Amino acid sequence: MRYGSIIVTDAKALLYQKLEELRETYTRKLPGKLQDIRDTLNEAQDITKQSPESLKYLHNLVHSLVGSAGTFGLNELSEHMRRMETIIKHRLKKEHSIDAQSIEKLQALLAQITLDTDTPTHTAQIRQDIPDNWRLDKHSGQFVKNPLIYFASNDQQLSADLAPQLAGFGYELQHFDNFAMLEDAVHKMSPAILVVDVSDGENRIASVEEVKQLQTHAKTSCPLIFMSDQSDMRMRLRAVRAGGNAYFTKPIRFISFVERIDALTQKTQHIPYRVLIIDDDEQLGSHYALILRDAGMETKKITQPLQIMDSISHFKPDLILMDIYMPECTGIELAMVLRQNDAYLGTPIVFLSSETSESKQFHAMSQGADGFLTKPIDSQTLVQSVSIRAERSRLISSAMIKDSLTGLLNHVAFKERVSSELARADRTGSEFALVLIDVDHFKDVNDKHGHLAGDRVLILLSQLLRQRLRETDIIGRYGGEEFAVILPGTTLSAAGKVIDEIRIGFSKIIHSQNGCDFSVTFSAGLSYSDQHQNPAHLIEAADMALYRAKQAGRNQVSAPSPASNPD
Amino acid sequence: MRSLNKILYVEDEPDIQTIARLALETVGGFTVEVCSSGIEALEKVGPFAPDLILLDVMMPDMDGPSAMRVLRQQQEHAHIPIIFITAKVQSQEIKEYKAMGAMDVIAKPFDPMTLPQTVNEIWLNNSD
Repeated sequence: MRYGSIIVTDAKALLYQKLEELRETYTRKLPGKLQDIRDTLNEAQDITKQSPESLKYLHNLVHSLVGSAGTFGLNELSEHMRRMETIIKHRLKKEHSIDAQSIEKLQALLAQITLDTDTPTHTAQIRQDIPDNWRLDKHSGQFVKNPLIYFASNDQQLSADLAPQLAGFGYELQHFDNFAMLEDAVHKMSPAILVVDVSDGENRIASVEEVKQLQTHAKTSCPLIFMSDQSDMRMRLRAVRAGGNAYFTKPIRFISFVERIDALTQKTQHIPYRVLIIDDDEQLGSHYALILRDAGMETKKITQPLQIMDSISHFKPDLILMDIYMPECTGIELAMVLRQNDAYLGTPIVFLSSETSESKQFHAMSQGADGFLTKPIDSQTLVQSVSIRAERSRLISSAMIKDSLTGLLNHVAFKERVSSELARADRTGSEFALVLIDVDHFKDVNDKHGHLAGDRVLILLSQLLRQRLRETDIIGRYGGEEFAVILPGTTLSAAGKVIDEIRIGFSKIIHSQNGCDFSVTFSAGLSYSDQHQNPAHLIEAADMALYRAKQAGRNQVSAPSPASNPD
Repeated sequence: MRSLNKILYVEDEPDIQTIARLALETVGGFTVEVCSSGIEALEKVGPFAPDLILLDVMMPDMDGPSAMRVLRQQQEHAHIPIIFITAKVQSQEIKEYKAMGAMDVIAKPFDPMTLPQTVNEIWLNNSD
């Protein structure tokens, strides 16, 4: 199941892909064009052979390359050609012919270019067209655009704070301090999320109701988040009535904010819902499957309910559609078995049955079902009932668990694991190590090589962690460039060793962007569960160890200080 | 504010033609007609009736400024705004082009991804 990646087949993506194709073709034609220039220059060496037509031809060749090379992102080439063009124009203006010295100069310049394009790294000349707010989605291998957030507020400081933080989580923030401009922008292009600060004050951007108007007039509506200094019930009600999907009071807690944004943007994914259909009646099962598949969903059919456990872990359904009366076990019993497992506590189960007795229906619901549909059922009702619940289930689970860029546990989910692991350690006596990892000089990577490169670095690190650590180790993306690991049943020194090996491995990786090679390191701090009763303290201890690693020069792993307070 | 829908794009370099048209159509949403020379532009301007003409300055048969001069003399086309596209981009030259009657000047090479936006901005800046 994918979380958070938004593949936009919109105009810019289309254009970008087309550009790539055209550029490919163009670069293949280049050697030919340069050869043409070379030939013309060689002929022109004999000044008697120069004619107005041949000179014009030469000029046009060069001029055309100035323009086209630049448009295709070959800036160095374009600049070079411009230099050549300047010489040609200068000569032609004065004397309508090109003297031997100038021809030599032109040939020298040309020779320089040929050298660059002949080597395999001539693609290094191709500038990175991808704007900063695109990234490489690791699942599809495609470029996907970071979702755009329109943020309307007079609070300049807040906007300045939010933008880079949101960028770290894969969102692009566009700030508006003027409602008219916001309206304009919304009409031109709907963002993934609209966030409006409706705080009262002399420079109020807009009222809740004005924003509601904006949404109704907009071409496509998008999720709406209100932000405000006030938090009274009346305000909140107004927000709800204006169609707000969320409400945050300032000062906002960033992580909750970004997690809500994550949840709200899931809607635009259009990844097909997966529905597991359990009905002993083969024909009926197939019939439902057909209806749902027609509506764009993916289905899997089981006629033997006892097979459910195999299917479910593999298929990972968003919803289970179940008949109640089956020979081997009832749907109710099956639902109860399913709910025994933590992982499936939240998976929506909808019963589909000809059972009309209300009390029996209620009983079924009370055993863990999320809906009850009576047969016979028309296709539209079936599709709608399924969609609504599958959608909700997705929102909830994805908001709770995974980080969109790396697929690792997100900040909140990881913190919860720390709590539960600590509780478990208390009960069982099996301790664990906690590690906080922070990429060194990450801002520099983004600044020097672009956000795309930065994202790739993070994805690579998350992959490396997954490869080197065990199945039982718990990995999370803790922050923009911060990762966290729980290593259960591991001693502090063993944990330190493992992380140090990974550190060395990571530092050796050569990342490449635009023909630029660079390497990245990380620093890490450890803490151990037997030293702390309180998850916050456990994390803090690792954080302090991380801090020491940074202070000591980075690219190292630091053990907890013996002086850190055990509670 | 008049709306900008149809653009006549005059550029002799086929590669640039292709990209610019693609960008203007897909990202900008404009209806675009391309032609490869000043003369062709004069032929197409009547039937196509563009709202705006993007005119490359340096072209083999008739250069941009010459084409503009002819257009300005024709009553039915004199009002159509023209934006020059040129490799020279000194502010002095921009002034000169504007004095000639151009709405604005776009520097070449341009970034195809942002060309539609640039065109829009110029259009908005010049609408009263």
